[in-house]
Amino acid sequence: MLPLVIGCALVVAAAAPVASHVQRRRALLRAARDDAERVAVVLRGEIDQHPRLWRYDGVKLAERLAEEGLLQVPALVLRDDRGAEVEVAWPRAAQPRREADLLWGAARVSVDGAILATVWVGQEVRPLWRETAWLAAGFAALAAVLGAVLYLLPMRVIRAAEGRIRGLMGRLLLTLQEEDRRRIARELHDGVGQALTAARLQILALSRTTEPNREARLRGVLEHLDQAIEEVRRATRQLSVPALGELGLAGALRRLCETFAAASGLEVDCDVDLDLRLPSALETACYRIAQECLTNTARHAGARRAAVRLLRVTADGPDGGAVELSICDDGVGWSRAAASAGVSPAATSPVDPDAGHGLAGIRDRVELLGGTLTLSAGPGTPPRGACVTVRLPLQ
Amino acid sequence: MPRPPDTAQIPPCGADFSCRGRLCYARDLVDRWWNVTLGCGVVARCLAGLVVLSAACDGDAPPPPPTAVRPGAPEPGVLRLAGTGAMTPLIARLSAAFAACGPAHAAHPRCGCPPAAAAPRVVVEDSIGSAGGVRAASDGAVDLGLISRPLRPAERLLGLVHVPVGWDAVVLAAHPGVSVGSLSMPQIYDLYAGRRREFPDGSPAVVLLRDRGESANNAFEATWPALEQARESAYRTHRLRVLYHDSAMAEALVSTPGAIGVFSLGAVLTYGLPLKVLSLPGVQPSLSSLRDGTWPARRALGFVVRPDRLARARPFLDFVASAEAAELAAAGGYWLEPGRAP
Repeated sequence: MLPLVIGCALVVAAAAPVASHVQRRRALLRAARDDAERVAVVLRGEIDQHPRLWRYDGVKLAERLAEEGLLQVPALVLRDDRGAEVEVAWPRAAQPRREADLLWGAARVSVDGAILATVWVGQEVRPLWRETAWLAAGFAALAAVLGAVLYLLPMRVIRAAEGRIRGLMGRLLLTLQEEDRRRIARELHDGVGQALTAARLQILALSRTTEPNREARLRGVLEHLDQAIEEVRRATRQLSVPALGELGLAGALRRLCETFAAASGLEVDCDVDLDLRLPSALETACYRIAQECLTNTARHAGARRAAVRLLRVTADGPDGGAVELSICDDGVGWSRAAASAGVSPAATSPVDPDAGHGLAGIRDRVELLGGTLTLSAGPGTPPRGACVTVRLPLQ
Repeated sequence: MPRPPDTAQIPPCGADFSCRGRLCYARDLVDRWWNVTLGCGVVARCLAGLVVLSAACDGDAPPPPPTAVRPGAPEPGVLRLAGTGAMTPLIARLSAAFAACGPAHAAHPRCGCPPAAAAPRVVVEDSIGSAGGVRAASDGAVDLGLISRPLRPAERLLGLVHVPVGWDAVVLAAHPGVSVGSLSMPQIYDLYAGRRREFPDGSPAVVLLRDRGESANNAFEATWPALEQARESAYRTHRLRVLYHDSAMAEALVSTPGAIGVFSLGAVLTYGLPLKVLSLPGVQPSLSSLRDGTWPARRALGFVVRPDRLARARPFLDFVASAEAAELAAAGGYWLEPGRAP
């Protein structure tokens, strides 16, 4: 867009002044040549009358040129066939100037094929350049205004539309994702979970029969069923976040911090300063991001402490402000290659196939919502640990 | 609780560490420089086009420096004269007498030329002005240049020999129908300045001017300088008619009722022109008043000649310096001083 606008602006700025300059320069040249021809005609008449001494009667030559209106030309040079100057008795007020920036037109005086004199008439081009410069300045100003209008107006509209589309798409996608997750969780709970529970009850009943190995075998089946049930419950919890609906984002984050601290042994500080409900897409995104970051911290960072902070920023802005979520730890920090793969250099376990999708998933969420993601080192001197800071616009 | 630090330690965008949701900073930078380069390319092409177009509209080659002129060769048997028209009547009369003093009349006691001299044929060209006469003589296009004023500083550098001849009175000549015979200087000033347009008797006056370079103007205004300002203002306002040659002035004075203008007394008397010569209060222009200085407006007449042409012009110069020539000139209103030939 910008090169196109620049090109159009340059065409507007340059085309008219260039065309005007060329046209007027050609007109000047034509005028110079025409005047030279007229002077040549006068000279021819003088030569006819005084074939021997025509070049010495400067007074009469000036008189004849004045009659033809040729004494006002900026510059006039006459040379005879010997190349000598033919002097013209110019009136004082019409003394010609001989400057280097003249546009010359020439004409020859010939009699019977022999060139007896050459005439040069010069036209000044400096005023032409001055006028072209003024014209170019005017058109450049016009081009600047047009370029600004052409660039800014559509770009503002495009950016605004882009922002709206991104927001809508992001919210729609996240909403759809959450809808799918809730549906899957519901189906898991209603379908598989119920079936497994029923199977457990039946097996429990069978276990009260009298076969000698039945009890051991049935105990094994029961253990498998318990594990499956627990997996379904865990998956259900992963797919949906019921705490968001019940407690809001602030409460859900505090519960998440407590749950993680208890499960991982990390010391998790939770600082949530938010006094309003956010759109569900934003709340879900913040929760998922915090969840993913804490999971990565627990798995890869080798940290002892982690901190989750959520606050509202730039509340007075025209866009209604933003929320900033940061998750920091005091672990081993980032490494360039590891971070791009989502793996900590201190990891001793094989690469977690899901870890590579962690940061990518966070980045995708942030992009969809039009926010910014910043990865940085932790606090302290020297810095240690890692921080993930996400800023999401409220609108 | 550890606070997130500022972003000063964010690695460069190339590692895809920092993302703003649209374009990375590095990609922005590349795009920006590409736009600048593209824009500069367009500007450069426009300027190149302007230069090419301007060059295409260039005019003809400027005039080269003038070349030095080699003097022309003299014509055998011909003495060619050209210059101021003020001397034309005088030289015409003298050249006719000089021709009559040729070998056929070598024994005539009144001829000033040596009897054995093979006098060349004297040809007097049309008037080209004193400046033209000087240049023509310097170029060798003529043998003698005719001037009616002193040489200018630049003309003195040409190396010509100046031969003074005599004097010519410059007068105010008028149409023969003008009734007044005398004008005072204030009246003349008023006529030239346009403050009055009639003669003292109420008849209309038509002032005719000579061109700026005319020696008659200088001769008249050397005595009455205020006339120059009035004349210049007339040139600027195109209020008065300007004549560029003696013949044109003579014709205009004769044919224009009420006409008045500066003119040569010698031309009036030599050609017998039907013009009235006006006098100033107490002073009548004539040969005697010219000689005794009571008539102050006069111009010096002379020849200019190349040193290498002096020998072939000698017979004529000697004749002009003779008493015979002085007598002939006096009859025509010119004052020649005999014996002044170099």
